[in-house]
Amino acid sequence: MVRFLTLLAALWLMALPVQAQNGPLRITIDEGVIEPLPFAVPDFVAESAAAQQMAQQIARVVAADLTGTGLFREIPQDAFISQITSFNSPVQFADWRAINAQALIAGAVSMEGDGRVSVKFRLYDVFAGQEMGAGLQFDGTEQGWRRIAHKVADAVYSRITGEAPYFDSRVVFVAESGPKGERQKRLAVMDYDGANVQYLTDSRSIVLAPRFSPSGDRILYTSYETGFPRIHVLDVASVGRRVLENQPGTMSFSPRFSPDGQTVIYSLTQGGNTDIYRMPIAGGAPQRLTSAPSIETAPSFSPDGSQIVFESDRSGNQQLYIMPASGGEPRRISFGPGRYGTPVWSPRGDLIAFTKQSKGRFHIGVMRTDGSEERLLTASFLDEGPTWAPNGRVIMFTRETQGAGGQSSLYSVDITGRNLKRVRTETGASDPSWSPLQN
Amino acid sequence: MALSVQRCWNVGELSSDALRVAVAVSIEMNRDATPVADSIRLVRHSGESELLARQAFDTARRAIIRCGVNGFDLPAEKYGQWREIEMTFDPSNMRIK
Repeated sequence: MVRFLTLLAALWLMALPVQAQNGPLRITIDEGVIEPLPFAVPDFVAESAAAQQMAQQIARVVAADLTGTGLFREIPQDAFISQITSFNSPVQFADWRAINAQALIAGAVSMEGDGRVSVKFRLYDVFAGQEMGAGLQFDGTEQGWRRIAHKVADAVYSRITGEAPYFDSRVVFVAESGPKGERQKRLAVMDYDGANVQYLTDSRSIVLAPRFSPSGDRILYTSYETGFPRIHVLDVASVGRRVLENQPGTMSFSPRFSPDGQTVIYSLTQGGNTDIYRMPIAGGAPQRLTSAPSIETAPSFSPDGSQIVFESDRSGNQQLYIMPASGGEPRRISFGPGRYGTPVWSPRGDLIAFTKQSKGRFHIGVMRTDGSEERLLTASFLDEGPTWAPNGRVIMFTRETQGAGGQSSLYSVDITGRNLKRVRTETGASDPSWSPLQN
Repeated sequence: MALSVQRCWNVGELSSDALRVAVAVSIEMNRDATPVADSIRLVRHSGESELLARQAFDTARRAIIRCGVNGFDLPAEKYGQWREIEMTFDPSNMRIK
């Protein structure tokens, strides 16, 4: 038997050179590099004199969106050998290869007299010397030019990375001003990159924890307008609002929409005990989902609406649990040292983002839905309240600096832990909630 | 050649889903050890979708063309052995751990 196996092995080895000579040379590459992809965005071609400034601005927003991901690196325009002077002229790929531009975005902008704007673009793989996908055109209004730019950047980002888009989205947050002890708080909404800020409430009462509806048309938040925390729902277009939940002698807070937008889950404190409830957004009888003497709060639905992740101190300190959306026995998913809170289910359904407090530091982290593969993405004096980008690739959160003059700001980080950066806002900012991708 | 392509194979822009896709790519080579750019083809892939495979392939193709632009370091006398190459790009070592 041993002799037979030896013979087989010898025959197999002898066959290898024959195979190599007859077929192609086979090579396996299993190591690569991770670095930003160099790209070029010349100013878009203005197809009318009135479009000149907008053509430049759109190219700048596209470049900022891509560079802001940390996955792309813009080649400065003063390095260009070629210019794009006509949208339909052949691209001189050799000129773009010479400056190591691996992707090239060429676009054109036209403006009609009625304020309508059309933007078309093509994305080129410079080294392959060909287009990546077909060219696209987006139409909009003059006032909405930044949205058009975000749509162009979204298309480029998705074609190159394979990720779903997220630039054409908004963020609702709490805008903060004044000293720490007398901080004034207003609800505000902005583009994902901090532009186009719109204030939704005044600063007469404290507001907390705004949450977008799945369609982005409504916002749930907690207000102290009556002196006690109460959940309100606000219509983004009209800025009209109403109290959602108002049981006398209770406090309600930490609301979040179900994925179909029809149900709200929230915490309610009654007689010193806090549990999780659900109720229809249109109104109706609340349904109690947990029933424990401990504090249950910060509920968040899974994307399919079948489960809820929440935090509870039933074990003696704050940990994360998952239960069926209709209530039932929860299972604990966090077991590491420290305290876990503010869990949020990823739009992809595969990860849960959370705040962790351990050894005097705060972290934003992610873990699988069974609690495995915990990864801490940040560390600081105070990081908290993660919210997912619509594509589940980026997390935004609040970072507060230490001391009496401490300020809150918004930061974002890629789920790899790379590309941690501050989101520019004109005031202090906290409690971000990312909208879905706009239609 | 493998080391050279490794240095140009930039997977940083790939999605976590595309990073699960291994692609096998066929290449025809010129006698000067540069790849024939139009010859690079996707032979097979391990992905669940053609879209993800396409993104993984685009990244592999860029690596081959960029690093082969001045010719790979290959023995001219053995051109017959490397005239046709099948290169497998396996990103399993590059995923988020």
